[in-house]
Amino acid sequence: MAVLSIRRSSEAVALQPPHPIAAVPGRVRRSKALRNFFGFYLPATVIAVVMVFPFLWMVSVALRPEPEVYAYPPHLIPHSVAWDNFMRIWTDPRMKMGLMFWNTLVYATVRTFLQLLLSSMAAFVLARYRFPGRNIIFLLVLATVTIPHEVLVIPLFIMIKQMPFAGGNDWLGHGGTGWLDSFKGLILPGIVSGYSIFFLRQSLLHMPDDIEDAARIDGASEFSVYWRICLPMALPGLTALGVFSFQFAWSDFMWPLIITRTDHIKTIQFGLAVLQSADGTQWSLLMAGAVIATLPLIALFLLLQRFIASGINFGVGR
Amino acid sequence: LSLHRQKLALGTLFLGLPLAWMGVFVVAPIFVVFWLSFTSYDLLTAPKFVGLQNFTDLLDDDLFWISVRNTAYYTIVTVPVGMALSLGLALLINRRLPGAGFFRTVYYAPVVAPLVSMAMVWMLFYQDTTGLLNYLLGLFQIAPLPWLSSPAWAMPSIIIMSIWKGLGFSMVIFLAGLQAIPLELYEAIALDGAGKWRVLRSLTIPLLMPSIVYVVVTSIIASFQVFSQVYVMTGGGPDNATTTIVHQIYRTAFVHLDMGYASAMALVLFVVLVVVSLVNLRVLTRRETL
Repeated sequence: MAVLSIRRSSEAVALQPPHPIAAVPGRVRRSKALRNFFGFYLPATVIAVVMVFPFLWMVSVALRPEPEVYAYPPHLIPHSVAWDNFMRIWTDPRMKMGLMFWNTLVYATVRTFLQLLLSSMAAFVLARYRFPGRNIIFLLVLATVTIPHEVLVIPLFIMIKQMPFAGGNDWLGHGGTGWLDSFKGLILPGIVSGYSIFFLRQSLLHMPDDIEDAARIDGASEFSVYWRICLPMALPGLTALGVFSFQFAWSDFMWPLIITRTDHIKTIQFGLAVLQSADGTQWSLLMAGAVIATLPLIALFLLLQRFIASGINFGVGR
Repeated sequence: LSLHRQKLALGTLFLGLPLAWMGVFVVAPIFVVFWLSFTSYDLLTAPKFVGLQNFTDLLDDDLFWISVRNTAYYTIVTVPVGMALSLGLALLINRRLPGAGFFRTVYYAPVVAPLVSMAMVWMLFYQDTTGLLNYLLGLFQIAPLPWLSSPAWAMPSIIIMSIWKGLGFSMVIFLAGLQAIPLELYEAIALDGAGKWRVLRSLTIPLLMPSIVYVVVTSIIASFQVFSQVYVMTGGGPDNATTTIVHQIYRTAFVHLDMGYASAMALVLFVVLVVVSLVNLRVLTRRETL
């Protein structure tokens, strides 16, 4: 804590002049180390154990034979390790882990890619071009962040179901199921948001004009100004938005719950929730599934951590 | 092609496509929900206009008011407790010591993990007879609690899990706020001989106010929309003790197929959230002008 360190340094300053003896700084150092330990390392470690404990428990249960899940008293380290849980989730016909994993990957990747593309296009124009009405358009875009997704699910469901010419629908959208139970219906409604445009505009806004103008003088087309100059320079912002978008889609529950009808677009989070409420579900397998469902997000976070600090503030990626 | 015309063509396409998309999938649905809320619609027959019927029904709907009460309960506990704890965490790890970055990462991990998977882990903790929490209570000679299986404890159980899940998010925002406070101010106030408590009260908290407002507003909005953990952990039960507004919207629309009535609920939620969001928007735009 900055407060403490400042106080400490000011004490040290106050102590310095009248004490020429070497023993005193040693004592100060030792008491400082003690204070760091009790004031920081000890409480921080205790809290860290509480925060990661559910993850440890998840892995622990995932590695047990099913009877040991309900062992009493509970214990963290499995008595016998059942590695084959992680094999069985892929082959168990009720879980269809391979299919769910693939569906989730498709949903998250395609959605992220399209969101980056469309948002950066709008952000590019809103940040780099000057034209009448720009600020009004930007404010309108920003205003849409007040619209919560949860309120939109009813009309979106109806629109997706009545998508003309799709899924057996006629031109008025009647007669069939439209885009329900399809990747189009899963992905396409969510690919642009006010947040994502706002966030990318921020990272394009503070670029110097000179580079762009120099490129134009060299005969670069407007598209290559966007593609070869602005996008590379906005890479940290794009990475942050990409991570958030991927995380959001990977963890998404409500929208898949609403538009999924059969297994073929079933995503991991939704699939696990369905399994959990089914009779005779094995918790050890369920937790093995949860580990697989959690691992990619944790890995992505650890890899790209330094990029995403800038995006956390705004809740982008929805 | 002249530069001007090229810019015009590209600008129209690049801005027009995303805006049209948002028009269809973000703005238009709001009007659809508004219109549907005045109809009775079961997806099978055409929507029938019923005027204000849905809204007058809402006033007398006990289940809806239970869900409003539950959502308020969740919000009133989660927002202040979550804020106090995350501010404490931020103050704890905001120091230049080796390992501080590691702890920040660890505390943020639950935010990154998928909610549904984590809710299922907590369901294991909350098991009545074999759960870890009741075992721990037993170590301290405390009688086991009926965590998810009793109306009184189900909501607190969901709240505890949700606070654990969300702490890291607010913590990171507070950390950013704390690091923006100039060190000179701490030096100045230390020269005045201020104690730790006074530094916190008269320097840190006031300068952290924008972050605090932002965290409070976003947490309130998120709390009003709580759904997934309720659906997974309790299904709204026992005895409707954990059903929330969004959970009722979901059930009314997609289980009972009463789209008009569910739209009326959604519209009420929307109006409430817009009011909260306007505060949020002011904070956001103020940040941008800085």
